[in-house]
Amino acid sequence: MLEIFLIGALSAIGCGLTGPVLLLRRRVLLGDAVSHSVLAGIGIAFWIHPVVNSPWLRLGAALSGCCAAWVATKLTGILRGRADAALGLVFPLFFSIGALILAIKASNTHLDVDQVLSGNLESSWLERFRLGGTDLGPQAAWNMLLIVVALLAAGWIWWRDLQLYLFDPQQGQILGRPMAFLEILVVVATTSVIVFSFDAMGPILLVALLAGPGICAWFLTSQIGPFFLATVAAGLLSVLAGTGLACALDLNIAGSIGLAAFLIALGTLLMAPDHGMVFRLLQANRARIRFVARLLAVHICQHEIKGDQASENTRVGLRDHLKLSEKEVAAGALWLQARSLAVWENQILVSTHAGKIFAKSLAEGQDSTDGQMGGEIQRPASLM
Amino acid sequence: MTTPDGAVLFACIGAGLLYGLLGSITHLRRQSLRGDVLAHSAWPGVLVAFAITGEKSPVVLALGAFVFSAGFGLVITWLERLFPRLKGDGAHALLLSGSFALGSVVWSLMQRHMEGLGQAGLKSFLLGQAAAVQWPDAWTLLGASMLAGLFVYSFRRDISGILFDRDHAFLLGQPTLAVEWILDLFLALGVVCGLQVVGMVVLSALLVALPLAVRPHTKSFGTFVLASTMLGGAIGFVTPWLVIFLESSFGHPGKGIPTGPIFVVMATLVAIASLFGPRFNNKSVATGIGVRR
Repeated sequence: MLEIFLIGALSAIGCGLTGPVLLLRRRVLLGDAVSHSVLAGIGIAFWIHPVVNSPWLRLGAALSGCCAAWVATKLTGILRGRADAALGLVFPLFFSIGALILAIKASNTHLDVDQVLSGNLESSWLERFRLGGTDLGPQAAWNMLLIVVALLAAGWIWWRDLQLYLFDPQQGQILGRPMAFLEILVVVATTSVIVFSFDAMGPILLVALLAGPGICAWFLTSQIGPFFLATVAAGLLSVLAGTGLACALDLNIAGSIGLAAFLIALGTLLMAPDHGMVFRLLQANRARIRFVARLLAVHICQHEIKGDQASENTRVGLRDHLKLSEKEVAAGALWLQARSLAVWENQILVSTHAGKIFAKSLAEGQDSTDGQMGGEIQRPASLM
Repeated sequence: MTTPDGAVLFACIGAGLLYGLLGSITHLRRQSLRGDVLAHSAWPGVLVAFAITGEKSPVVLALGAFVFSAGFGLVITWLERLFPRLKGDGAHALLLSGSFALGSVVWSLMQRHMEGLGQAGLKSFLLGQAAAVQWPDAWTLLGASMLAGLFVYSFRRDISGILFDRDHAFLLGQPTLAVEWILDLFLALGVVCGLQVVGMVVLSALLVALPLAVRPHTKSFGTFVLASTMLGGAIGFVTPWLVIFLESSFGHPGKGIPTGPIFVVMATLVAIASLFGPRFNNKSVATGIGVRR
């Protein structure tokens, strides 16, 4: 159990280090695409050397995954940034070539295509890494550890260039930084994470760990360093929650880790500060109350000048005249009261001296914050 | 040379027409991978439908699949509107993995609680079984393409509005969100109709490759949609003949050549040839592919 968790955690770290790169380059589905493209390599390797479970299959898989990712990257350039179309064109081609070769050459051998799709974390610890007869733990964990160390080293060496590559590759090219090299590096790094982890996890858990934690982190921070750290942390949290859930209810481990990552990401979309849905609804509500309060301030002053405040500036009068609801009038008046711009006297809203100055500045359009208000009150419309 | 089976021929033509049409619109919405995502999200739907009814009839399973993939499609559209950061493929990847993880969890629950559960009817639902195509499958695909064609033709103004300038269309009072959601429903319908017949990979390949093959040659919305649809139909017509030709020249007895992968390879090769080959419309040479001048 601990070993399964270890494999999951290391994969989460690997995915956490590559996920943000894919997310920022808008290419998260590369995980899905590469894991389908692998079939071409498996097919060709099987054609040349028809033995199931040979290391040649693994090598062919890795090579064709890399090849597909590289072709997709090049094609994205040719299609002027249409990464979705490039991926969608490349991976079915590779998958079909593999399926054709296997159908012609290996139709009576048992090489299960379905198994590739679901992944099997439960049995991933069965393959051991042995050195001189001593058992040093599961092979999959050592593979992932190697990749994580390599990723950390590469990230440490090319940290500045990586930022340039992510946010402004043209600028990087002008500065003479190795952008083309970084592109290949990113392709190789992501593909190696994908290829090495997917026979343990399956492509779907892989996409879950690439997308879910990355999206979490993106809604929590706007800085690149914390982005990577938060992604790794969210990935580890998903693995922990997922394995716990799977143990408690006896579920498929890969599936429940994926589900945990998905739910954590959805929770972040709801609750995140600044970008989350709840926060934005609250903000929209606040902006609406502020707008109503300003409307009220100007309106009551105008009626005070006319002298008919006794009939107009009541709750009912304001409600009917400005076509507001009772609640909105109350909230707007509260806003004014809190800033001592107006007070209720005998059920009539009366503006104070400060309130009159405020209303005058609003009516004359001198309020500096007035220009921003249009932007704020549009929020509710875009939320619908 | 023998002729191909009629059901297979018409199913291929129907699939080509349907995915050429739907693909041209998903391409212009910059969401080429949505078909793939919706196909994956049908998986928990199939399982839930089977768990509730205990039947493996294609209609029940298709209904479950449609409910789930339509639901996930609508959620993707809504999330992308709500959170601009999820544009590109963030929302797609999130819901793809979420739905498939849900499917695996439901599957492991079912394996524990339901007796005598064979994988047979359920997995082939996802991967397609082109060899066992019947006439009803062909009629379903042709009918779905007719329906989608009718919708696209009658709402062509609203659709081109949301494709090219959504804010302007919104200001003109066109029902942008409603049309987007109906388009999502049609894509889900198309995906579910084709899932059992051609399978997930063929379907997502056609959705991407057919519009890409046509895109360099035209700048008009109507021509683009029509040409992509017709190209799909033409490739669908050629594929079964090609399969028979290949089987008679290279096939071994007892080892058939599968139709699906040949369909994919054909469509992809046409797309690549048209991307790198000469253009029919000389005006679009300078502007390249997929960008406005």
